[in-house]
Amino acid sequence: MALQNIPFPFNSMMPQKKKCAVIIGVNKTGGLAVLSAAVSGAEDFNKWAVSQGFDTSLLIDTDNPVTVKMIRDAVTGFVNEKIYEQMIVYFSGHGILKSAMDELWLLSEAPEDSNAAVNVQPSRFLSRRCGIPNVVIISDACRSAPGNTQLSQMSGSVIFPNSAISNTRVNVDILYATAPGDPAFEVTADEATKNYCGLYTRELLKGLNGKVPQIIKDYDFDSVGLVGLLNSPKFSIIPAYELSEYLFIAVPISAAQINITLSQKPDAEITSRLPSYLSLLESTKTELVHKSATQMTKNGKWLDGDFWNFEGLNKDFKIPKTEQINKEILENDIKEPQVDDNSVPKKYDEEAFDSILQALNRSSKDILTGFTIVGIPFVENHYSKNDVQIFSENEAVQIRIRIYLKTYFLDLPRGRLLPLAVLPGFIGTVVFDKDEVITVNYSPSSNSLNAVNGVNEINSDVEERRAVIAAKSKGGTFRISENIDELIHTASYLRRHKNLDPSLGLYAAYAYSQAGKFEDVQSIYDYMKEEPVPVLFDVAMLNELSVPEPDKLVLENASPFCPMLNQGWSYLTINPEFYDPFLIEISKYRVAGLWTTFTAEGSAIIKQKFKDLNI
Amino acid sequence: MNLILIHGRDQQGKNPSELKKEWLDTLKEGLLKNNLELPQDINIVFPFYGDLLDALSKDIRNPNSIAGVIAKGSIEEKQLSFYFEILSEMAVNAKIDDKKISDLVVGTREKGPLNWEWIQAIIRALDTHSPFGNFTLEKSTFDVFVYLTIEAIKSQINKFIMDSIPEGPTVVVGHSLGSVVGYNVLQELTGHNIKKYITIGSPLGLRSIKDHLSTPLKMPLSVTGGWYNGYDERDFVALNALDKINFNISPPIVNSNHVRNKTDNRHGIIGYLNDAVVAKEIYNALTS
Repeated sequence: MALQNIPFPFNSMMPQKKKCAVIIGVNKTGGLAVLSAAVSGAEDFNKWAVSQGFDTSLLIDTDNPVTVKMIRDAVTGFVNEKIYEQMIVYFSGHGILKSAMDELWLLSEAPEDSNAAVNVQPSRFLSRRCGIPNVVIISDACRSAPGNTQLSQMSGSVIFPNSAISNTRVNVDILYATAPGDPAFEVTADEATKNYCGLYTRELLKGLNGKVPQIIKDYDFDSVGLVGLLNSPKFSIIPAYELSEYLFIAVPISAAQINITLSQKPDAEITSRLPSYLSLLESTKTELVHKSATQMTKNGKWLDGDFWNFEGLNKDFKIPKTEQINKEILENDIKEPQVDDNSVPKKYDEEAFDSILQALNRSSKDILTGFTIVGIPFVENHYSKNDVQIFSENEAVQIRIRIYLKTYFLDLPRGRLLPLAVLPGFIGTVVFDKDEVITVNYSPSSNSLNAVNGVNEINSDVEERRAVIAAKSKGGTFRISENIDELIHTASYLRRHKNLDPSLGLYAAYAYSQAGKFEDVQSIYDYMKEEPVPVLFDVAMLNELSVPEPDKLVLENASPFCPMLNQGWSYLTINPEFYDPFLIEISKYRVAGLWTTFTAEGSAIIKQKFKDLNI
Repeated sequence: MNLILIHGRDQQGKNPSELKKEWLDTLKEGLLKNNLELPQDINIVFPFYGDLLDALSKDIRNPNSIAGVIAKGSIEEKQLSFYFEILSEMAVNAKIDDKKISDLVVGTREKGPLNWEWIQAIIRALDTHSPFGNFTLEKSTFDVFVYLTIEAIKSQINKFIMDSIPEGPTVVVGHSLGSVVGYNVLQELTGHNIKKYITIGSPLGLRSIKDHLSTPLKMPLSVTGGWYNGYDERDFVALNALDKINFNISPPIVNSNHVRNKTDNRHGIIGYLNDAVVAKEIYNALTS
């Protein structure tokens, strides 16, 4: 059986839903090499969307620049109609990944206008409030390092309206042309351009247009009351999950066909389930054609290749069933907490994992509040010696803090500055690997009240799990969604003692927030605020983004003075007026990486602002 | 055939039988203009939720009640914001500008429009435009606020209405807030055959109302014979037609702005049901 894409309007018996798409293609953005296929990719995608009955808004830079306002107006217009069941936001153009989960789509006026970019993660966050049950974000953009200061200082803008939290549950799927992680950081935006050829969109459209039989699913719409007609013709659909699986296999092969050195591994997080789908096809009775992945010849022409003849492709390739994936996640070994997405199945950084495990139990027993620094030999003390004492013990630098501080600023090599939350009764273990912060874990100090109550009897599983999360996060693949509950429950001491490990609370709050589980974010915050120590800034910030009436006081009482994880900064763009203007100013001076670290320039500004650093 | 009549806001303390009689007498008046009578074999149901809504509304200030717990302490800010949005929309509909409102602010004015003095001034301006009575307008807005924003109250009201709908072919008429309640109930209803949904004086076209409905907006699956919406263009609660711009669903709602509501505020049920066209629409639905 093969299938054909039926042009809109569909057969009247076909199940129809109102769908809309904002399609963006930007070939030229200031200072970077001009792309050749971004606009044409957007146009091709638009053709598919129109053929599927989408109401579309096509924004391309052929004649005029594409601005944030144009995109926001288009998105808001569709959202305000309140009639759509699905929205696709497609982007083809330059993209940069400033740090894990902090990425921008560059628009025409970037980088001169630091806001002329779409800030992807906070936009995704707000999309959960838009009231459209299924939002699909498709990014055919590089996720490479900014490459220069001007790009790294871009903040970008959000494109979804900052609406009140909607009654409608919104599933957000996101498909990326490339994976984040260390390799991406090695390729600058300019370098990436040389290899950018829009093959992701080519493969995407091939899948969407029904040319990959393996990803086409029969679906009985009658069974869910979507048609209500007996004897209706057979329809087939292409769901987002199956499409992403295909892209995961086909895009690297197509990339390698163009140039063996070209590595492009797509990435996706799919949360929608049937009956959500992307393409609707009417079945016909002809034979399958086993052609799918695209090849480009040396002279630049595109050809349909034989999917099965690509070297390296398992000929028995089948799309795994979603249930099977979930089962695998549940049964997974503790050493590899899984994510419910189709990201590149990359092992976490084992070196980082070992470093974190080796840092266990290195804290001094003589410290009630402070830090243990592992992986750098020396820490300068710029505080009064009465207030902060620094000494060596257990082959680590021990920092004892004897005054109330909201933020402890740790000076790092090359003038950088690491802001740390000071939690009375806790010792934060900061682990470095090659001068890079790989984790900050808080544990009750051995002579604190918590220790007396047995809270610090952290079992080795929990420690190991924390280490895995931290190590896995290093490459920017930190995403835990569906099995976050399992993560929390595994760390069972948290529940037994009715308090929450700050480090896991931090990770969990982000994970819940990314999964749109706002009530769970609030639950984390509620747990943490019951403790006699400040709530971490990130958790407080995510909580205030999740409640109908945010309160500035919650952030003022949080510790440290800014987000601890770099990805937290992108959330400030959702409602910049809500935050201390200094935060917005200083946000430009960050080093890429998981943990917020300020550049030497940022460090100087902070030290000027907080002269005695006693905040 | 069943006829369900869903009343609007601010009806607490009224006698349900008298209220039902008032509706039916008015409807008969409208039918008479067509030389028609209410068909004999109609099962008329008037689910009176005014007292229930009032009791639940009072409960939100009681921290020990379910509604109180859900409202989580102070609801002042949420309420202020809702009042501002809905009353401002009504003021725009009534062609009342900020200058007129500003002139009616009494006492010290807080900076910015989002404050109770400003809200009170909008209410005074609206009342000058169409006499609802300041208290009535404020109470009515409160009813809409608690119904739409407090899930526990909305679900109890919806269940109360849903339980009152008998089996068999049914025509549902919703007035004012009743049209919003009716829409929500019909979306949840399964296994019923609603021959027609008729709304009159409906605020469903206001953005501040739509913001609190489940999306996407759609024709309830239970409604088999279409949706008719009648309104008076001078009724600032209802003058946004439920059309492609304000309520773009498929199949589309049939709108008619012909009504000349004779009540003082152009919104009263009496001025809608005694309209010949509205009454005929109900009659046709009942006898189809």
